[in-house]
Amino acid sequence: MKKKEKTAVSICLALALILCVGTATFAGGQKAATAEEFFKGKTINFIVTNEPGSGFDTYTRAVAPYVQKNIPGSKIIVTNMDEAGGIIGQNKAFAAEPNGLTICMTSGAGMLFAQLRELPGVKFDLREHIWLGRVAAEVHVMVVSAKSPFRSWDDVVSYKEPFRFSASGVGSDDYIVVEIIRDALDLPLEQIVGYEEGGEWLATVKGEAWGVQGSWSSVRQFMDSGDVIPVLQTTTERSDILPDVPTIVEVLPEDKKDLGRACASIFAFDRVICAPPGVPEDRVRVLREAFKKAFDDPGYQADLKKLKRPHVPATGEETETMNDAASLCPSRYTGGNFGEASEGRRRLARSHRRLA
Amino acid sequence: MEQLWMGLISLISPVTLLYLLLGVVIFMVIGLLPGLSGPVGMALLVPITYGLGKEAAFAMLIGGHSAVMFAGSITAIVLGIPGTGLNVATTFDGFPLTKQGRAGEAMGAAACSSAMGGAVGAFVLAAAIPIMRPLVLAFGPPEIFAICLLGITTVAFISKGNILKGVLMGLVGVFLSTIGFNPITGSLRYTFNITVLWDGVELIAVIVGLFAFSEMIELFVNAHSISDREMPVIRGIFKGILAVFKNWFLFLRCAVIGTIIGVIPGVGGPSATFVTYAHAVSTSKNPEKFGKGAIEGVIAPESANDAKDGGALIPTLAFGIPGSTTMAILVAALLMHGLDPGPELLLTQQTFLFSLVWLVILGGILGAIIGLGAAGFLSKITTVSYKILVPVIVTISALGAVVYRGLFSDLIIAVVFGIVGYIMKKLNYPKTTLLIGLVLGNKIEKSLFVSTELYGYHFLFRPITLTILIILVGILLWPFVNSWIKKLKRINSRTDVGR
Repeated sequence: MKKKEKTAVSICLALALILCVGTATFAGGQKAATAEEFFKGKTINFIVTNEPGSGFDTYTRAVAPYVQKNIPGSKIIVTNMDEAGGIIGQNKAFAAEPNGLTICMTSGAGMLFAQLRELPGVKFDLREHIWLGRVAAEVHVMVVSAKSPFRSWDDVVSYKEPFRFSASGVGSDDYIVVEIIRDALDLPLEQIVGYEEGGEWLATVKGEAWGVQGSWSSVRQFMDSGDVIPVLQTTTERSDILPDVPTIVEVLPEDKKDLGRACASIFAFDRVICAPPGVPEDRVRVLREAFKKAFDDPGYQADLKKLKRPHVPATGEETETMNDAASLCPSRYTGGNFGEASEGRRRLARSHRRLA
Repeated sequence: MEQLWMGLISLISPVTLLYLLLGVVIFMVIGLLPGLSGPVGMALLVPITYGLGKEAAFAMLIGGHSAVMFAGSITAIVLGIPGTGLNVATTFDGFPLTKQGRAGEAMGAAACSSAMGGAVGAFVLAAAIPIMRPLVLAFGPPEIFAICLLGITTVAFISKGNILKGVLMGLVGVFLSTIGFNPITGSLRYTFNITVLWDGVELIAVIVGLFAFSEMIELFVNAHSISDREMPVIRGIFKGILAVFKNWFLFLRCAVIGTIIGVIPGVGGPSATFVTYAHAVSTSKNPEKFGKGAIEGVIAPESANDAKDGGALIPTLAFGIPGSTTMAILVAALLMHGLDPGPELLLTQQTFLFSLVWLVILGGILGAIIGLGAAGFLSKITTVSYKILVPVIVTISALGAVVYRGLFSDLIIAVVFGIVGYIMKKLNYPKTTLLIGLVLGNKIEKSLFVSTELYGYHFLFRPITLTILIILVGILLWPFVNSWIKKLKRINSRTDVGR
């Protein structure tokens, strides 16, 4: 091989080696006297378990500069790890070195269901994570199509013929909560899954499906255009944005109200930030305070207003409490329903077999 | 009409034009690297645009993204390595043209089709602004199923003379598309407890393996460069551009088809290129030349590739429902700049909407000019010794496979498919049909399920669905009908001579 060609090969192999191995995290250096000093000159990896452009990603990129501001000398880099429904990112956040340099924005509800369903590949335990705060918990709203015969929750409950809702995907938090409501009230409701992204909303707008459940930020534009009507909100108390819409706790019978509160607590544990177990307490304190100050920063609040994203933060301590509540409630009343096929899923499976 | 010109005027500022140029250059560099693509560019640049005015921000994003398709096509033509799934169809005839020393001609045709296709898509977008909502609502899962089925017919056309092997590989691709979460029941299929397979086999890794690695293995084993001859590039470029005008009606049909397919959320860009390629083959007087270096085989998918972006903007702007991954990131960019996709945007920001139309056009033209400016240098790659080309391409492709998701497992997938692709080529099994099956299989499964759940088998008789299916049957039957007509004409002419 000629010299020029050898050189080209060597350069390429060296480049590939350097870049494929990735950036090494240097956790060495002199021991910091205080936690604040530890973060000086360090890079914090802020993992997001959702794709770029998602609500989680938007919140992460909005809050990161303000958290960085409140940890002097630090730099925050946002990394999206949405593979396998965010499980890989969550696994990485759980197993990361507990030095405070890896934090993670995640869907508490989504990860909770994954853990409760004992999905293979789940290598984290939400009860062991350290919770740093919550950026927002959106109201999740069940809406009906303006082309459906429903105008209120009473119409939905009193309808005796089978009807269909569209859903974003089997196993999503909204899908599971609708299944719970359907089973608790024995509604003749079937959820259709398999839509391409956003297709479930178009289906409801067209009247192809008679309703769908989603977050307030997803629902809002369709409500504003008059395409959908809100009939139920998955909260314990009526929110300011939907004062006339009943809550899940109100509509469930007395013996099932705990179920409603559990569903609400799951959605309260929504866009949350965690650190791996074992991070020293003083560094957790620094991180929690940084997030708290970021949430209170008028600049951050103005950014969220511009982005039309709700600002419903919670501190790290409050988020720990939510985690405890959310983790306990489902096993208390569902007896494992989250891991078992509900009647609806069995119906879906039967119809799927008809196609096979 | 006034809003259309106001949209153009709003872009005329040195800062906006500078960001347009910067966006085009950045996206083109990204597009040239196998494995990287539009979504990567969008994800990288959106945070940077946060502090910019909306004209400059979207000049960089939309204008730049309009150029990325052609960049991916350059590697598809010159190296036989599609930049993304959107450029696969271009390799069918683009790479054979390069092997014949006609890379310049292929690039000229691709550049002109891309730029003009983008303009057609943009004009359709502009015309559709008043009717965006009903246009998007007219399509649903039944129509998605029919269009994906139409895309699958490409398998039949590109495996001519090898139908059984082509269909078999297509089915293998469909099988591979089932790996991961079952979208209907949520259960896992064929993942063997490997978490990275939950989202399925990563398309970029498969493309890098099947096209980049396998081609490089072949060059290395046979110890030769891609081409041993090269025609003067500039003359070739003009010949390619002229070919687009000579085939103007094909170009226009494919651009319109691409735009319409782009309107439907979830169908995906690759479907547009496969459908238009199949259309070009079925309507050609000489279908046997496709796959061997037919310039029409480059014009058809390239016209659709950029035109579909104009279409994809329609559901994105009208509903905030992205027509593709790139559009999903664009929705975030819109929100970041205080622009809420939906009826309010359509009513109150018409000047801005029309500025987007112009950015699609300008970005495509600028990308074509810059790409062709580098055509001379790029076409020389085809004659570079394999001893230099192979390690360079393998390294860049490996990085592309890893960087896309940041997972080393994607490199393993690429290597496996590289070996599989090489063996497939040796045994004369078409690689492209495997990829078509992989791209479209999941969409066909989901759309078929939803359609039958909603309508039973009556979904086949919905007007738009039925029309597409009739076209599909027509495309499949046309070669036989055409052959029968030619036979009849021969018989008649012999009869006339006999008299």
